[in-house]
Amino acid sequence: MNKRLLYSLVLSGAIRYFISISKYSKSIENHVEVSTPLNSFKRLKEGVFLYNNGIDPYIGDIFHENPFILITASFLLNNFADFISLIFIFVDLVTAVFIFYGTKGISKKNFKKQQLEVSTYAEGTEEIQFNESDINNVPFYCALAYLFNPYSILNCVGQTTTVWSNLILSLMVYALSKELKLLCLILLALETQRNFYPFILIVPIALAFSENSKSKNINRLMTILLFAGIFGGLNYLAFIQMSSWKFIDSTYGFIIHCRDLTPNIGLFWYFFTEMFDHFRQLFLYTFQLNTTILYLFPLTLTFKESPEFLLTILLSLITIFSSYPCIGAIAFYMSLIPLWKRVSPFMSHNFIVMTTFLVTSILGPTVYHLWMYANSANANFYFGVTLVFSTSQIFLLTDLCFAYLKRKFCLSHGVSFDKTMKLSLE
Amino acid sequence: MDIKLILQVILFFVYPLTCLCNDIELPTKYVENSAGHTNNWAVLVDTSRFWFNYRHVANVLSIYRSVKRLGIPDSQIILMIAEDMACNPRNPRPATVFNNVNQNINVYGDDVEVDYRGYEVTVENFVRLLTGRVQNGTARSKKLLTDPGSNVLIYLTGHGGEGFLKFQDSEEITSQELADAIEQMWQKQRYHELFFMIDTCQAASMYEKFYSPNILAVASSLVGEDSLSHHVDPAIGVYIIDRYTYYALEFLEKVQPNSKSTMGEFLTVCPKRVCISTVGIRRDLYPKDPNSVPITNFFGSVRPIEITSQVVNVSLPLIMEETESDVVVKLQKGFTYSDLKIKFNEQFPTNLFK
Amino acid sequence: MKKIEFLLIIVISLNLTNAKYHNNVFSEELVIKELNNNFVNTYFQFTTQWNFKTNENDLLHTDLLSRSISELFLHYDIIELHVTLSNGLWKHEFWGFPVDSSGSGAELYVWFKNHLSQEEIKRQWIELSEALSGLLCASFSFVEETNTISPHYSYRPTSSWNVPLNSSFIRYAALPREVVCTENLTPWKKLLPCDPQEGFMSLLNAQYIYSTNFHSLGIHVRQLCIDKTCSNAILESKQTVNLVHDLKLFGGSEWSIRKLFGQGLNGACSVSSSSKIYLDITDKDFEISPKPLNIITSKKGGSETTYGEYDVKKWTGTGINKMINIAIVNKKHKTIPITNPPPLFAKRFLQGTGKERGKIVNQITNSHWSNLNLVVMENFPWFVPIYLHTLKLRVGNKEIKATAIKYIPGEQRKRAYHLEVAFSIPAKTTVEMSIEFDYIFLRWQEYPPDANHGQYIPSSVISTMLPIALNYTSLPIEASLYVESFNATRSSYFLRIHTEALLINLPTPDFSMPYNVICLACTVVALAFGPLHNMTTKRLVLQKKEEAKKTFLGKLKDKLFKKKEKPE
Repeated sequence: MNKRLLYSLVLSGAIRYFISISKYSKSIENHVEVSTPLNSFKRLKEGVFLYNNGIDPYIGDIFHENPFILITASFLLNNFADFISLIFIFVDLVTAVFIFYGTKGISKKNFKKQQLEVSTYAEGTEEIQFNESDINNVPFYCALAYLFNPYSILNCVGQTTTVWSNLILSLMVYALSKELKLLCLILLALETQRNFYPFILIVPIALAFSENSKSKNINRLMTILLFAGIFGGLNYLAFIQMSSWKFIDSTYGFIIHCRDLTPNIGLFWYFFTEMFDHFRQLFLYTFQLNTTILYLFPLTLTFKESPEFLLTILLSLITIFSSYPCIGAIAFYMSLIPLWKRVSPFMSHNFIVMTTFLVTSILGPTVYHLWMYANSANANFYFGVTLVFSTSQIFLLTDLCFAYLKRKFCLSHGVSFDKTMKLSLE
Repeated sequence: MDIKLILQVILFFVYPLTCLCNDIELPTKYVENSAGHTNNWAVLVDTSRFWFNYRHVANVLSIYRSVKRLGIPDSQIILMIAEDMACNPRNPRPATVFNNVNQNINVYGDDVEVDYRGYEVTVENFVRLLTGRVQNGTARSKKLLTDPGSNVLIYLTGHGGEGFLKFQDSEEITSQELADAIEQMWQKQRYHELFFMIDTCQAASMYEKFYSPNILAVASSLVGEDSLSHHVDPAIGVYIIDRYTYYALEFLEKVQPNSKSTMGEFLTVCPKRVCISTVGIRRDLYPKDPNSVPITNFFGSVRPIEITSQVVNVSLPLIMEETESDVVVKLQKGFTYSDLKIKFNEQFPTNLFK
Repeated sequence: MKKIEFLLIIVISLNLTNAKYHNNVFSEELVIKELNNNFVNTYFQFTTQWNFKTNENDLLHTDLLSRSISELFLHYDIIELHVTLSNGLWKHEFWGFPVDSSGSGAELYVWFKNHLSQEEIKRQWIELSEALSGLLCASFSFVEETNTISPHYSYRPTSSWNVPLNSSFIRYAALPREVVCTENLTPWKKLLPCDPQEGFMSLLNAQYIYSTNFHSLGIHVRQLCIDKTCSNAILESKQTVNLVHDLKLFGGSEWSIRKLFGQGLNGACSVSSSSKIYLDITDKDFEISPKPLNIITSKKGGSETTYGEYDVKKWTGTGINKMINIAIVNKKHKTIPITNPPPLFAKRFLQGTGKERGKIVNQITNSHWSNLNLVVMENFPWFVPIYLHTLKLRVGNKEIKATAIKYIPGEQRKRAYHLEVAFSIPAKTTVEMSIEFDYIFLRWQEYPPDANHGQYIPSSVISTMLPIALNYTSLPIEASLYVESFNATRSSYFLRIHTEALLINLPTPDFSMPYNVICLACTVVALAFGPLHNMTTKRLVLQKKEEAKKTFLGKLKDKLFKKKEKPE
C-alpha cells in the first residue's frame, strides 16, 4: 500500500479515535447536521432493541433503516457493543481505501480514454489534459478529501449509518472501476434500500458498463433490468427476514413522504412544516421528482461520454435535494471532486463556495443552539443558514458542470483566445 | 266521537312514520298566529382565546344569560367559548364571570352549558354548525337543529378587521364566507328570520356581504371604527366587557318575557355618546318594520298558545305490567352483590409476578 | 288533527314510564376527612342501582337512572364506562389515597361487549366520545384513534360479563388539557334523579367547588350480570365528586359544612333510599357539633378508622336547626399528628434542557416494609417519540429489571405510544423510572392556537396490590356504596393512582412565514434548475464581450474613472 496513504490513514484514524473518546462525541452524535431520523445511531439502537425484544421496529416511528442494516447492527451490538466506535472508525478508513483504489481505476481509465482522443485536441491544452502523474496523485487527493474532511470526521464520530452508506458507495465506485458488474449492482441495490435516491445512479453505471460493448442499448437495458431484479430480490429477502412488507413504507415511504420534520441541513423540513395542507402532496412529489429524475436525462445526454463525472454530479444532486441530508453524504461526494482536478481551472466560484461552506458550517450549529437552548432565535434563523448552505452546494455543483463543459470546449478549440471574447451558453 | 277514536288509533300507528320523514307539519292555526315563527335558536360565539380577552367571554355570556332568562332553553342555545375564563387560574373568583366591576351580574351563572369550548371553537366547526353539515356522530347538543320556523339569533364577538373575524388568533372567517354560510342556511330552510349581532372592531364589515332574505343585522361599529371596551376590573387586571354589549345587556335586563319592547328599541341601544363607536344597522334584507317586531321574537321563546276548554278523550293503550315474580332480587337498601353471587375479575395481573 | 297527534306523544311517553315496575335504588353518601396541613377532603357518591332485562326496550325506560346513561349502554354496546374530569393535583404523599383516583384533565375508559369486531369498536368509541362531549360539555370530541390506547395489564373490567378477559375490548383516552368548570357540573348534576336544590346536591355550588385545591367529577357505570346468559342484569351508576378544600381560605383550621359549601344541608334527596354523611374522626382532637348519632369503627388490613355517621333521613331538626351544618370546633392543637406516608406514592417530572431531547422521570416510592408489585402505564401522544432502549429502572445506582413490558410504538399522526412496565419495587426504596424522548417539529397547522403554551402528556397510571390498607379508602370491587368498604378486610387491596400530567414545549415554526418559506425554498431549487437547464439545452460558444454585460464592480469602476476624467 502507498506509504503516504498509510500515514494519512493512521493520522486520520487517530483524530477520529481521539474525538470519539472525548467528551464531545455525544454532542456531535446529537447534532442535527450529523444525525438525521434516517441515519441516527440512537434510532438504530432503538430498532435493534425492539427487534431483539420481538416488537416489529417498522410499525413504530423511530426506526427507518432497511432490514439488512437492522440485522447487521443487531449482530454488532449484541457481540461487539464495546467496540462500536472502533468499528465505525475502521469502516470509515476502509471507505477511504476503497475511494483511493476506486478513483485510481477511474483516473487510469480517463487517461486511457484521453490517449485515444488526444490527437483531436487543440494545441496548448496540455495544462488541462489528464496527466500520467494524476493516476497516482488524484486518488490520494480523493482519499485525503475523505479522511480529513471535517464532515466525514464528524460523521464517523457521530456513528451514523451514513458511514456504512459511504462504505457501500466507495465499494461500488471500486467495483465500477474494476468493471465488476454484479458486485456493483448489488451494492447499488443495497444503498438504494438504505437511502432510496441512489437508484438513479444506475444510469451512469449502465453507461459505464456498456462502453466497450457492441450493442450498447441492449447492454444498458440488461444492466438496468438486472439491477431491478437484484433490488426486487433484496427486498424479497428482507420480506422473508421480517415476514412483513411493513418495512417498505417505513423506509422508502418515510423518505418519499418526508414524514419527520426535524430540522436538518436540507430544504425539505421547513418547507413542509410551513406548507399548506392542500398543497402538500403536490409539492412533495415535485420536490422528489426534482431530486431524482428531473435532471437525470438532460444530464445523462450532456455528460454521457464520462459516466464517472455523471456519477459525481448525480451523487451531489441527490445529497443536496434529499429529504434527510446529512454532512456524511456531503463528505462522500466531495471526496470524488478531486477526480476532476483538470476541470478545476475553469471553476470560477471556488472562493465564494468555500467561504459560504465555512461560514454556514459555523453559523448553523450556533443559531440552532440559540433557537433550541437559548430561546433567543427562532426557526427562521436556522432555515436561513440551511438555505445558504444548500445554495453554496448548488453553486459548487453547477460550477463543476459548467467547468467541465468549458474544459471540453477548450480541449477542442484551444485555451488561448482573445480577451474580448467570452465563453457563454447559447 | 267514534271517528275521532279511529283517527286516534290510526295516528298511533302512523306516528312513527311521520317521525321518520323530516317535514314537520304544524297546526295551521298555530302557524297563522306566529306568522311562521315557531321556535327560537341562538348561536353565541366568542372567538378569542387568552386571558386578556376576558371581555369577549363576558360579552357572549351576557347575551347567553339574557336569552336563557327570556326563555330559550339550553338545548336551543349553541354556546361557543374559546377560552375558559371562569375557572382560569388567574380568575380571583372561580366559577364566575362578571359584567361589571361592582359584580352586579354573574353572567356565567350556576347553570351553564357550553357546547363548543377551547380548541373546538374553529371556523370549520362554526360553519359546519350553521350549515348543518356536522360530522357523523356529533352530539345532538352540538347541532343547530333549526327548521323553516326558527328564528335564529347569531351573536359573534372577538377580534375583527375589515371583512374578517379572527378565531383564536390562528385563523379567520371572512365576511364572504359568513354570508355564503347564511345563504346555505336559507336555501336549506334552516331559518325563518335571522338576527345577526356582532361586537368586534369594524363589525359592520361582517354583515355587508349578506345577500339572503329575512336578516336583520346590527354591529357595534362601522367600517373604519374600533369597538371599545367598557371598563377595567382592577382585581382581574383586564377590561371586563365591551361597551356595546354592556349597554345591550343593560337594556335586555329590563326586558321580561311578557314585555312589549320591540327590536326597534333594541337597535337604538348604545348611542354614539356612550358607545364611542357608531352602531351599524342593516335592515334592507329584513321585510318587516323592526319597531313592530317584539324583542322576544329573537331573544326569547314566546310561543302562541291555544287554550281549549274541550275535553279530549284519549284512550290509553294497554301495556303489560311486569310482575314481581320476574324479578330475581328486589333491590333495596342494604343489598350487596355478594348476595347475588356475582363474580368479578381479578383487578391486578398478579400472575405476571409469579 | 295535528294537535291530537301532539297530545298522543305525551300520553305514550307518560304511559311507558308509569306502567312499568321499576326495581331500583338510589343512595347518596358524603365522606368527610381531615387531611394534613389544614386540608379537608370531601367525597360525594351518588349511587343508582337498577335491575333490568338486557333487551332493548328495558334500557329505554329508566326510572331513577338517567336515560342519557342507559342509552349510551344501549347504543354503543358497552358494559362499563368511566369518565372523570379533574383539575388540580392529589398529593398522595401527604393526603394518602383518594377513594377514586383520576388523571389530570379528562379521562375516559370503556369496556365494549365482546361480540363487536375491532372495526365496530373503533367506530363506536369515536361516536361514544362525541356523545359524551355533548352530554358533559367537555371536549371529548378530541378523543381520536391517535390518542386512544387499549391498556393491557393496568385495567381489568370491574363489571361482570361472563366472558374471558381480553384487553382488545377496552379503550382508554386522556385529555390532560381539559379544564373543568360549571359547564361540566351543570350537565353532570342533570344526570342525577334529585332536584339540584335538594339533598347532597344542594351542596355542590360551583363557586365553592372551583375554589378548591383539587376537584374531580366522576361517572362510573357498570353492568353486572345476575344470571349466566346475562338476560337479567344490574346497571350500577356511581357519580362522584372528590374535593380537597384548603382551610387557609376560610381563615383557620376550624370548619363547617356551611363554610365549605356556602350553605348547610337541607335534608335528604326525596328519592334516595339512604342518605348518609360519614365523618372521619380517627384520632380526633376536636369537638363536633352536632354530635354524630352513630359511631362506626372500621377495621381493615391492619388499620382502624372511626367514622361518625349522620343519617340525614332521620334528621329531625327544627327551625334554625333544620339545616344540617356539621362543624368542627375547639381544635386543641395539642397533638401534632405524625402521619406516615402511604405505602406507595409517586412523582413525575421532565429532565433536560432545550427543545431537542428530554427525559421523563417517574419517581415511585415504596415506604412499605415488603416488596410491592406494580404496573406503570404510560400513554404518550404521537408527538412525543420515546426510545424504549433508554427505559431505565433504577434504585440509587443499581438497575432493576422489569418483569414484563408491553410496548406498542406510536406513529406520527396515527397512534399514541403505549407503554406498560410491570416490576417489583423493593421495600423502603425509591425507584426512578426514566425514558428518553425527542421533541419533534410538527406541521404548522397542527399546532394548537396557543402553541407556545406547550402540549400536555397525560398522567401515568400506577396499579398495585397493597398488602395493607393503610391510607386506603377505595371501595372493594364488589362494593357499590362507601359503607360497604367498612371492615372489608381482604388479603390484598387493589390500588390505582395517577401521577402528574406534564407540559412540554415543542419547538415552534414561525407561524407568519408560510409564503416566505415556500418562495425562498423554491428559489433555491430554481437556482439549481436554471443553470442545469441552460447547460444541458444550450451550446457553448465564444462570444464577443458586450459592454453592457459588465459586472457590477466593473460598472462602478468605469463610472468612477469617467467622473475623474471629466474635469480634465
